[in-house]
Amino acid sequence: MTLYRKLSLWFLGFALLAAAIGAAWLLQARTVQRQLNRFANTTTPTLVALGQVKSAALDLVTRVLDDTPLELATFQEFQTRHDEWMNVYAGTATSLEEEQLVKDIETAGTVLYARVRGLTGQPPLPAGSAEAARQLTPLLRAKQQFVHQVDRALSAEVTALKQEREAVNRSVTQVVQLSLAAVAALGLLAVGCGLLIARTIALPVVRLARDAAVVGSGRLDHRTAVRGRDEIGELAEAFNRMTENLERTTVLKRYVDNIISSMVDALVVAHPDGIIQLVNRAALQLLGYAEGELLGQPIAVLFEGQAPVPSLLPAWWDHVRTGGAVTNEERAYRTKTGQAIPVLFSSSAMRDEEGQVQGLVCVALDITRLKEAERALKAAYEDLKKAQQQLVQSEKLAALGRFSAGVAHEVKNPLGVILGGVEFLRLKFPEQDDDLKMTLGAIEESVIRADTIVRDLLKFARPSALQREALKAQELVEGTLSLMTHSGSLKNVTVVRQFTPEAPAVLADRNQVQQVLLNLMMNALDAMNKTGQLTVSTSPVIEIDRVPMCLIKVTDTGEGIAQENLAKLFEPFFTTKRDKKGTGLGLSVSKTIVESHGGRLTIESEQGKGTTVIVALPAQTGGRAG
Amino acid sequence: MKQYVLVVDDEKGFTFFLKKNLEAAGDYDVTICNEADKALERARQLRPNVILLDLMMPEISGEQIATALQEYPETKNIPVIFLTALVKSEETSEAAHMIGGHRFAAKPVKIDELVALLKQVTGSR
Repeated sequence: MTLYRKLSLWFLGFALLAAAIGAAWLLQARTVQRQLNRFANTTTPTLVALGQVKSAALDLVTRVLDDTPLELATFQEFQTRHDEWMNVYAGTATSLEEEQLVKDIETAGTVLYARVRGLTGQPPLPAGSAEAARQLTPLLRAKQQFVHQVDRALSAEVTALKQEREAVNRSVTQVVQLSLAAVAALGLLAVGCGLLIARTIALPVVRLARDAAVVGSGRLDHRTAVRGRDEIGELAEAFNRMTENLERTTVLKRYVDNIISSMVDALVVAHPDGIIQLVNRAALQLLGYAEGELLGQPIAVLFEGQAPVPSLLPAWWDHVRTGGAVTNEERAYRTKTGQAIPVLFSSSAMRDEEGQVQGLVCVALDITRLKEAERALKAAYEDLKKAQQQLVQSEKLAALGRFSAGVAHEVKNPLGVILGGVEFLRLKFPEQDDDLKMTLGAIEESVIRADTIVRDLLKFARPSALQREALKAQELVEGTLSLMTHSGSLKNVTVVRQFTPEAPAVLADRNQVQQVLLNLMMNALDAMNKTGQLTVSTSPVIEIDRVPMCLIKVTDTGEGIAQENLAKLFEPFFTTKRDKKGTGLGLSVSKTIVESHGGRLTIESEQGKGTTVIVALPAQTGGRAG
Repeated sequence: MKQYVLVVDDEKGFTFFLKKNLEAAGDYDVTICNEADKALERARQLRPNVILLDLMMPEISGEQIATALQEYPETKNIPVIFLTALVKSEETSEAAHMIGGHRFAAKPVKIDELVALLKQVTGSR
């Protein structure tokens, strides 16, 4: 039953009960009123009439007994008076008993008034006379009889009056009792109603209020225990449902918030007008902002460089709004300090149920490390390519060397025969003419030349096992210079030494590196026709391709190298000294040796001014040679 | 004093000119052996003052012959000079011009260089 109906019924019952009590009370009051009315309308006139009748008779008798004669007219006045009041009295008779009383009074009255009539117009009787006594005795008897009858009626009336009084008293008592009972009943009912209302409305409401306070304090798992099939029950149920929804949505929100703040990717949500609405922790960490510094800012502040994004923004926006998404595009975010961070950027439109765009969700993954790795990979690839090229080059040279080794044996034997033959012919023909001399000389020279080429070729075939030791660059240079001084090659050359004390030790095979330096210095001398200035220098540590190196430079003041020849210098058999018995293998062999050390050989030249050859050799790390 | 020289080399042209030139250049008696497998036998028969050994020959290498010579008392002390068309670095100590403990001469060799070498070898005996 609903509370409304329950309450209505209670109040209806209350009203009905009150009405019933009121009706009973009214009924009882009516009875009292009736009794009082009867008293006024019946009893009082009866008593008055009886009094008048009695007093008229007594007055008449008294009149008779005085000294004056009774006139007829006077008698008739009394008669009339008697008759009038007797009529009134007779009119109040309601019972047989009363009517009997009326008859008895009328009879006694008739006797009395007849006796008095007989005496009218006669002189008064002398007192104490026998006549008087004879005439008056019946009169007095009649009077006594009449008074007796009237007194009977009066007595009956008084008895009735007594009874009526008692009845009224009873009725009034009943009314009072009834009133008290009604007040008590209504009071009890009111208390009952109050209790009921308290029990069914106030208590559950108070409990609900308490439960609401508990939920309000954050305990979302709290439920009210209030039950019922009325509105309070419904309210309690609705309250529980609401709390449940609240809990679910709150828990869901916390869950989602937790996901967002735990994300590794930087999340930024922007309003459709491009204003940032939400940023997660990863985004703040990535960009170095506090949350308040980004919220409300245009999304363009996130991006590095003004050019790519603002110009792209409308197009990008249209693209995303029309259902497209940006997935994993490489962009750059800009941190608070202006540093660019490469990110993998994705974005999509966030829509409501109607498909209206609510915002723009942007997710970015920091790919700095990936980029670094990519760069490292690229560098490694470049290194690998270079190494491979070197390998190919050295493999080519090695193959050439192996080939040379095979060739050398097959060539050198015939060369030996030819040389032996030339020498035999010289023995055989001691007297030679110029032609023969020239011929034998040319053959011998060619044999030696061929032999030199084969010997140089064989150097490629040599395995690259290096006897490396920590050597001072200066020492290597000096050793080579002294070899050249002994051979007299430096007679007309000014040697300038530019050695730095900071030059590090290099890890090198002494013989091989000196062979290289010798080769380079011989080239330098050839370039300036053995006259000029030869400058040799060493350098402090310098990093080349992340490897600490020491540079040894050999500079001449010779003719320089033509631009078109610079690129071909290291090709085997390329030579500009064909006439001077150059084999074209010196520089390629030198380069092979330097590179087998992990070093570099480069040449800078300006035609007409001279040439500088730079030998870079890996420095010994962690110490210097003494 | 005449020096007896045994030349072991499969290259007949080379040995021909070597014999001619060497005998013309000094007091040498040169015996030619073009077959490597007969070199040991010839050396033991002849007991020359010096043996010139080609390193690379089809059947037996000069080094093998030099090792075999060490096993016979009559040839053990005969000095050996290798003749080679190919100088392998792992075999040589270039600074000392030695291969396997023996001197060597690289082909093509000039006769006066060879004479100088022979004089060194025989003189050291």
